[in-house]
Amino acid sequence: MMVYGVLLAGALAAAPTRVVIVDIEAIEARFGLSSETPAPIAGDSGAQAQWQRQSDMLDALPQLIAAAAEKANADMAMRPATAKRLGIAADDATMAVSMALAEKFPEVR
Amino acid sequence: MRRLLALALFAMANSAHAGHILVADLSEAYTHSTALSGLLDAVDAELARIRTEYQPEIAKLQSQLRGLDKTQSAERLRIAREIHQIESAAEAAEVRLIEANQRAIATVDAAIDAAKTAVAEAESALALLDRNELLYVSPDCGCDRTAAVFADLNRRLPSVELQIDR
Repeated sequence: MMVYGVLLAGALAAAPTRVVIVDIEAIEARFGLSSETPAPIAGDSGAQAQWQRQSDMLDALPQLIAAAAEKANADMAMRPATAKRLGIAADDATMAVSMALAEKFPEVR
Repeated sequence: MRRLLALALFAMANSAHAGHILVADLSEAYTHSTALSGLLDAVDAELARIRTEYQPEIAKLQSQLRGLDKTQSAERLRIAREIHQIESAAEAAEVRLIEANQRAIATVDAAIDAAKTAVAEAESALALLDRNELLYVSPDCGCDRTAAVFADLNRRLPSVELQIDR
């Protein structure tokens, strides 16, 4: 019986981390986002609005990733490359994040 | 029945260990690492020393240069060259400081890696990741080992020497 206790303690002490992967680069490519886009020259209101929208979308991403991870009951979200390096097979939440972003910013769909 | 229960628990225990990931937020290492905060102080002190060593002489020569009229071109040239030499020496001292700082940081980086490995191994975790590597970490995951990593790091490397080539 003690053996079961030890095994159970081991199983409970180190619960497996639930991971989802999010291909953030693919999302940025799909929506044409880049954190390195310089602010447009003042006066070009169209370019200014587009730059502002990009900035808003980039700002929204962490929250949308968190929401997708929580919905998937995950402890962590990481890039596919990180999961691959660790040898982890994880559910892919890229589509969920991408859809949430498109829903939040319908004008860029 | 007993065998089945044992097998199930064994599988649970093993699968848990196989996928147990820890996290540490190392973004404030300069605050939490005694070696890094000490290194910052040492770099500041060395920068101040370089300024004290070279700046007064440069200021004195610049003052002399302003006092000369245009007919004293040979003297003006001599002083300008002297200023340039002192500025070059100050720049070289700063380069040596930068190189020494980089060597010290490499030492701390190696110690951070060792601390991360030690904390992960102590818990038989698959890995201990830097928070920056992750897109999201649940506040309820119970996986944050920032304090343990810095405690290990400070035991392992309480200070690091700024070794400047003179």
